[in-house]
Amino acid sequence: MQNGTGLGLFIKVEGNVYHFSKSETQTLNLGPGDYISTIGGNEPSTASVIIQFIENGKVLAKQSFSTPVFFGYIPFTVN
Amino acid sequence: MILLNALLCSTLKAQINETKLLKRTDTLRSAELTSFKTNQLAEVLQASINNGIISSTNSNLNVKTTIYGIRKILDSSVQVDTNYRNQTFNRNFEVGLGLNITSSNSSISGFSTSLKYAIINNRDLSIYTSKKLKSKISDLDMRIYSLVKMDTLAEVIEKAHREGKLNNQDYTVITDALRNFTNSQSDGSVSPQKATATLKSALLPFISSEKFYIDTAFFSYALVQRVIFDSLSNAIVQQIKKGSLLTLSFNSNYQNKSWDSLTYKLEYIKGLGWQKDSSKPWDIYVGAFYSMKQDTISKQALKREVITGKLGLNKVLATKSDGSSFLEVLGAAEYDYISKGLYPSEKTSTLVADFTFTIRLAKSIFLPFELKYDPKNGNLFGFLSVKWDFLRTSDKNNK
Repeated sequence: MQNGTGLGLFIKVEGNVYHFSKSETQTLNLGPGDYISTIGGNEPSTASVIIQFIENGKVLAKQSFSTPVFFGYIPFTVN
Repeated sequence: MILLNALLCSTLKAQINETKLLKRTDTLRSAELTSFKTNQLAEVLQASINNGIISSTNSNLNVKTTIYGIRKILDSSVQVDTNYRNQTFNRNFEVGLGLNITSSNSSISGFSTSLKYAIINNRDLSIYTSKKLKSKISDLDMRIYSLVKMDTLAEVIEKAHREGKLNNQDYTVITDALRNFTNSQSDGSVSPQKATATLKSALLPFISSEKFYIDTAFFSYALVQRVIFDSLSNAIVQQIKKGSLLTLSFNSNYQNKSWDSLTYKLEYIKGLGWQKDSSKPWDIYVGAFYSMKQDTISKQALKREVITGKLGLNKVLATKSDGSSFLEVLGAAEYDYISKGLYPSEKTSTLVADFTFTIRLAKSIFLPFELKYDPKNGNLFGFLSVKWDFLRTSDKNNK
């Protein structure tokens, strides 16, 4: 996020919801078949929001938003 | 091991999609910008040419920036919000430099400097820390969390695929529909209602499937929730728009090898936040100045002292189709009291009507025209400027 407030972002992974309050990286131990599904968040300042899923430095999936409020899916299964 | 790297922008510039996103963001930021607000505190960098078109033959070239603006030029990573949020002091501290140019021979006759600090800055969402705003943000966060937690659509489909109830071809069709649902709304170009209708339509062949159950009622519930999200988000933005900004500044002007003026300014602006007129906002302006000026008769530096009080209202009169300010006017009454160095036949105090009309020529270019009228003496002064505002999110690829 650039020039943003770093407000709420929620990502659902295997039924668990993870919260991001600002630009940050969280490490998760996921195995093959584990599933990332729903995302929702808000950034009223109109800053850009980029979400990336990285394994060993390689971006496996990503999603960006520029709306103040967002809700959607990242149907992504770990191989 | 998977890293969820949310909101990290280190690779933005190399990627086309992210550049488009920044352009969109910049447009949104630009739409909210008023000349009145950035006059009080520069966003990143501001340059202007001022010319007294009625009473003066001189021009001024001015550049002002926040310390954050300088740091941004040297290190773009300062924009990333984890760094950005630590830049409160630097974003509230503005410095300026100017050149005075004599129009007749285009020579530099002097220079000016300015320092400004925002003592109170409630006009910036990432600096604002009021409990009321925090409460609204917390409420919005909780509602979004609940909706994400409650949603099972993707999980049902994933489970059906894992259990072999959904073949690979159908699974691909559905996951593509979910991706389209998200992508279509990512820049605000498609409404949640339309995106939901498209998703339901794509899922229709599977909704009645006996192999797994899709809760269609959730679609309606999610749409209602998202209306609430938008409403709360809008309320947060409106609260910022009517926030207060109090600045203290010091300006110096050195001309023809002598101090022309030293001025201390305390300025305050606050949005009135009228809901009916939220797209064309009203702002109140209050200013108190203390100036030491050159005595132009005896040619002695800083021998005159002037105290000024200014009270005004700024109003966006017209907006462009994208909602950005096109024409705004600041109407103010200015009271000047000369406490020292009164000229013969000069009155101790004067009341001046001051109007500044600002036309937005382009996204970052403003054309302010200031008219000052002294009704008692019938004096009229006019000042025309051109102002460039470089925004926080301006990207080098964003022309």
